[in-house]
Amino acid sequence: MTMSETARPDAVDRQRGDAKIHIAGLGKTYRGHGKDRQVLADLELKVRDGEFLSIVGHSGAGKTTLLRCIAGLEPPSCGEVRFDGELVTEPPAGLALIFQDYGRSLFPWLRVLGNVTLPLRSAGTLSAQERRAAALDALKAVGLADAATQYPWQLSGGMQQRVAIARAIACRPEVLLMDEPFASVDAQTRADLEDLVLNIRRQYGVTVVLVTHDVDESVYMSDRVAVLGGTPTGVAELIDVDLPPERDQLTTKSLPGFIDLRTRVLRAVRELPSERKSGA
Amino acid sequence: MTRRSVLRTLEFGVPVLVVALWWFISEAMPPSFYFPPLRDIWAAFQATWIFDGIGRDVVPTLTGIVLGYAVSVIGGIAIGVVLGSVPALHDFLHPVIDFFRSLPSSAAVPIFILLVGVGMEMKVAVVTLAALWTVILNTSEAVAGADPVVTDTSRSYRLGRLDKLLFVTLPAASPQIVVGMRVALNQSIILIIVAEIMVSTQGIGFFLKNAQWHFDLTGMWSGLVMVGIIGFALSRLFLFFERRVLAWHRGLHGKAEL
Amino acid sequence: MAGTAVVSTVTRETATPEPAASLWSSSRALRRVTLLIVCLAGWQAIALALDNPVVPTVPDFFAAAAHDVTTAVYWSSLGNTVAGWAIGLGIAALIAVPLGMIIGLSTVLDHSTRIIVGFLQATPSVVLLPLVVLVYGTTIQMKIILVAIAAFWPLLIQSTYGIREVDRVAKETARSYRLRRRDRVLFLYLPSAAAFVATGLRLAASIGLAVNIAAEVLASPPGLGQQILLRTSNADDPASAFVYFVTAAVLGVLIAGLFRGIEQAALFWNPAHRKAVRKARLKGRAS
Repeated sequence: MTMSETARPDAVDRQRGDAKIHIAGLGKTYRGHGKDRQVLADLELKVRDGEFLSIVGHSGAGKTTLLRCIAGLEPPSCGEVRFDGELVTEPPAGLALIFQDYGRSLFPWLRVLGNVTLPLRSAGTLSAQERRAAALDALKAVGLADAATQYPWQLSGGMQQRVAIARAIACRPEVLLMDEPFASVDAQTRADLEDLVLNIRRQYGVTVVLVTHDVDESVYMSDRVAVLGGTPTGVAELIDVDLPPERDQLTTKSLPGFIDLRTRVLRAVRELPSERKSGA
Repeated sequence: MTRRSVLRTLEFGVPVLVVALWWFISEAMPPSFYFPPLRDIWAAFQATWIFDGIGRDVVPTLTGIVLGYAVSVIGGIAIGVVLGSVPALHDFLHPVIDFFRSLPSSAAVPIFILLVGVGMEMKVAVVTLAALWTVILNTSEAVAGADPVVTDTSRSYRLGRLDKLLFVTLPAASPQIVVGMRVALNQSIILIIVAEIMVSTQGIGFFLKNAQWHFDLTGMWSGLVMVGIIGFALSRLFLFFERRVLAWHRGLHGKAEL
Repeated sequence: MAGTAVVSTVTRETATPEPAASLWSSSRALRRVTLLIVCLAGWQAIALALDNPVVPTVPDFFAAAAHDVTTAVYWSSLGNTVAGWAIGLGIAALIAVPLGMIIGLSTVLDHSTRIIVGFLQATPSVVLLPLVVLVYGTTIQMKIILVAIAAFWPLLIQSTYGIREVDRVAKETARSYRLRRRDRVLFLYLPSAAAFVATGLRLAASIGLAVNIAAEVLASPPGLGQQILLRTSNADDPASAFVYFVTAAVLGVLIAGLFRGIEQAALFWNPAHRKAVRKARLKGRAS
């Protein structure tokens, strides 16, 4: 059992170059009645172009806060987030966010097709026909081409989340941000959705940042796992997932490498010291 | 018979029964000056309201209601959306709007008469005094209290201003706006009638006052029945409108009937 | 867009603190006082623009008010209005609440009365004024009856609704614990229904006041509305009419506030209501 490259995130990244998203010295403090709560402090993270990065940590660790800062929905208290080198002050184009609460994120007064075409309509670059075609393509990619004329609330939870994914990819984003997207669906559906996202990633070549509390999921889906920890929160560990790129629910999850990795991630989440063999 | 069909029968049967009872009892009992027999009321109804009465009195009243209501709703939604979108302004002005909403608007009628005269403008002004604030308050509360997930979604997808207003803000706020519109409709009806009773020379309010002066009880009762019909018709119309506009909302919350 | 080199890695050393909550946003009193000043200024501007004695300028208003408040008429008419309203409301509550609950408890009654109630409550009670004036003249009794009729419907409907909407799971829990009927009524139905009744009370109170004042304005039984009418027809006291109008307005606001408070108190246990209250309170916080 080797220690491997978990020592310092910076050291690893500098070797590999281009960062799609660069988070530097990020801090976020919330003001309460009289009390300030510092959620994030001095957080450093680089998301590489084309990679699949998972962010894990305890509930309340600040995962969602971090994602919201990356997405431009919250201004950082200090530090900065850069997307393609540009400072993020509001939601940047090229970035699509998928919320955990699909029931409230999809608009119940629009049908599925309406929901998927709405962001395209605002972008204003396509004609109505092109928008419709793009939306139907996206719905086909998530397997819901038949549901276009239904209302979101007529669909099951898993299907609604797929509509949300279709809405995101119809915009052809460069980066997909996902905030615990599968937390509100049952385990079986979750497995299907995980594979769907992996397929989408392969098909569209997007960079994906996934926030999740599910350790198995983080290892299964990613190239790297960033573990948040400490108080206030920063990146405690950055773990490379050196598993074969072809992932499969049955085979991948029984690989010894998988089990090692998930153990390491779990330990890091629980803030236990990593196993050390003699020396090193 | 199934339980459901029994209940259905009761629902429609009992009112019919009650009206029939009213008819027969009022025939049988000794004549009461203030509560004439239903048969006479029906005769007066036919004579008065079918169909000249409609043009003479119902139309002016409805015109007043529609005008006042339209001003209140359109103005109210517009102002309400603006207020709701600027939370600081909303918080600041809230007490004033609440004040205007809570005051009994009939008290203003004599004052408005001195200010604006006795025509349609006065009626519209009085209705607006009552109903506008209700719509403003309901709209601004709905817009200000929008679900943060909805707001975040529109921000993260960088929706344009107009698209956001038409496709997100207004539909999301519509359930509560419709509630305000329903109350505003009732307020409009009440105030138009008050204004008519006070100063008009036509309209249902005037008709009733006129009947009072002439001690025309059957006429007055026929007028009351007419008002009941109009009120009922307007509320059904509104219900129909509400069902169309909020169909998605009922579907979302799984209510079979509203 | 691949291969963009990282442009800047400058990290600010010191945390840029959030702007401190300004005095404006934290002091409700300051905001209210400013609003008052703004309103008075607006009032003055409108009064000057209208140039009509029935809308007095602010100083004229306070002069007239200072005078009127010392007169007996002021207080007697205020008393008459409040009395008519309160008695009418009381009568309506005493009849409508138990009746509404009985209807709510019986599906048969509920369905039988649905259309009749629906039809009658859609009729604005104000139209009954001419009839009631014929029967009772322009007296306080006339007002009371009208108020009672107007207040009856919201109370009836809300009471019925309150019983009907008692949570099904709570009802089944009560049955599974074999609670006596009396206990079920006392500890389940009444508290649940109380919240709805409180809402009905609030609606009835404001409708009652509106009808009361309308009756006074239209038919002149003693009360604030009557005084307003008197002073607008009588040319030499228009500013005073406005004083009475403002009195009626303030009365309306006080009543609305009072009953809203009662409603809040009765709703303290309702999770949907608590969520709404918490949400409103939190709105100030999030940075």
